Amino acid sequence: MTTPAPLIELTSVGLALDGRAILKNVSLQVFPGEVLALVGPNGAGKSSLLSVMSGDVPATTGRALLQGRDVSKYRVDEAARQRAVLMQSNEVSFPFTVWEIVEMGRAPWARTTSLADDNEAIAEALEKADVRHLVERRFNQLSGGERARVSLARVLAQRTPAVLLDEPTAALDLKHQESVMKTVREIAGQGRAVVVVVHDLSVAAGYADRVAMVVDGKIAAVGSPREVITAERVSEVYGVAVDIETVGSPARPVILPQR
Amino acid sequence: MSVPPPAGRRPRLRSIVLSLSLVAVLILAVMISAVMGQLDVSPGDVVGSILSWMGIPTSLAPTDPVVSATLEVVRFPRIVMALSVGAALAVAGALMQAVFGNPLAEPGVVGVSSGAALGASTAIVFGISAAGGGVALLAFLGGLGATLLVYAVARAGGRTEVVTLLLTGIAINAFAQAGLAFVLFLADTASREQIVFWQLGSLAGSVWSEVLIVLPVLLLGTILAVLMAHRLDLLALGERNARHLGVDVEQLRIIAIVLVALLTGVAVAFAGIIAFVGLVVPHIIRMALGPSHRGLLIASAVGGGALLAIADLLTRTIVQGADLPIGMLTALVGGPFFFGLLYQQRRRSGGWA
Repeated sequence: MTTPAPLIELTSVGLALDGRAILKNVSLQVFPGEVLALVGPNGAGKSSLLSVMSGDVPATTGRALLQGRDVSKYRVDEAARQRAVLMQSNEVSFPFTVWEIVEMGRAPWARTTSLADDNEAIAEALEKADVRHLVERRFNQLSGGERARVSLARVLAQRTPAVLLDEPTAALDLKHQESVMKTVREIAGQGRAVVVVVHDLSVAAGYADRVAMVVDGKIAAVGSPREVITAERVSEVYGVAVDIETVGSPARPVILPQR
Repeated sequence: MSVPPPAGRRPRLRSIVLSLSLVAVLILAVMISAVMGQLDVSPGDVVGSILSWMGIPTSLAPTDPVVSATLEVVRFPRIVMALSVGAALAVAGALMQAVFGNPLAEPGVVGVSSGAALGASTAIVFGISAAGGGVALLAFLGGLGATLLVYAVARAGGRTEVVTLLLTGIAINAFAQAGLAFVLFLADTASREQIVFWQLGSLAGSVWSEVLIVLPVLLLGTILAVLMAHRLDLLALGERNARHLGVDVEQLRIIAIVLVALLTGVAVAFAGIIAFVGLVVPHIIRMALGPSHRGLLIASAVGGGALLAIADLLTRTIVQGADLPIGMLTALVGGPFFFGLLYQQRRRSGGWA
């Protein structure tokens, strides 16, 4: 069996901002059809890692490839058809409607697809992010969780092979947290590569194919959730003693801090 | 997968009604402006005069040479100048708000107009072809300098907080005023008087040769702005998101800024400082049509033209036989409006940020 070519490939990436090393010698591959979760303490460099993958910030050393090509060498519009990015905070300067915001996700495909395709992509995205009932509302009037879901819908409407999500579940209630992670699995099932930053280790363990633990700008471990999220490693990295229980059906690990 | 309800889009009817009423207001303003004045002219004379200018001879064409001269030499150029300057300022305002991601950005408030005024008065005092392109060119350069300065100082992550924007405006206005004072000091009495009155803003004495400079710049600027409209929409998501969606943000911003400087510069060069048009007009249009930039820019151009035509009509009819400075009038209306907007924003965000 041959492994498919990685969609995203980082080789010995280092990133220094204002003389401070943010990322150190990071090598990581993301394959089509998989969900890779990035976990790690606050300030470990997870968002910076996404920035390098998305081409926002050029790697100081090493190289970052998207579809086998240096990500910083893409034209902006070409890159927008290869990867979509959900950032942590999403603000909109003017009172656009939810429909207009999600429609913006189709911008990279202007003049390459038909209006029917656009509408179909938008409809699907609205459905998946559960924001269809909000289409006529103005973005500025929504709650934090609703805004996060609308922004996710925008990213989904972009329909790119690579999808980078920075804490998509941070502001969400339990129901939407679950539905967003199910959506993440679904789009990976369509053969797309999803990189998702999550803080809840149980969520990462339950939904990701592979987990990369980022600590102090380095990849401390990468592999299956069971390999990476172990009681010893979590205790060491986070400084909190935890128990890991296996519950539910299908069985999945749950990470509980000891009290 | 079903297609979402078309109700998700903005109702088209509303924008059609708004556009038609804006055009109606515009035509009405033009008509009244042409009719009113020291010399009585009938609406028939106005229509006839316009038609004969378009090469269609009708029985309506004015027979009295004084009437036709009044219309062709005095009133029409002034009206077209009012329309062009109003449109230029409104489009510049909408563009600037898009680039700064802030509905309070306006060429007058932020100091771009002052920068242009400094450039223009320098041209006047040093006699750089006082009537023609020299004033416009230096006004453009002054406006461009001021815009770039605000841009460099006030933005952070693609957005500008209200406080930063206003403080930068204060600093740039202060600097430009100091420059203006120095230029006035150097000037002889005649050009000093000219500058003082010109600064208050006026459309009196507009001639076709000036209109022919303003009009092409306005048309070019508006067309380019409308072509960028969709990308300006994406900019509302913030710089990084816009880039993720394929917008070359750097290029877009530079073009938009040069356009703002061009439109403001050419308006200031021939009409002086007329503040708040760029603030009030896009704001009202945005409330009526929504923030999407294509409709916003086009409607702002029409609305700005109509607003300034009406304002100019008022300046020459409120006081019998005198021309009030139009900049004074727009500031009189725009000042409280700006204050109201600030108050609203402050309440919403719970502070001055």
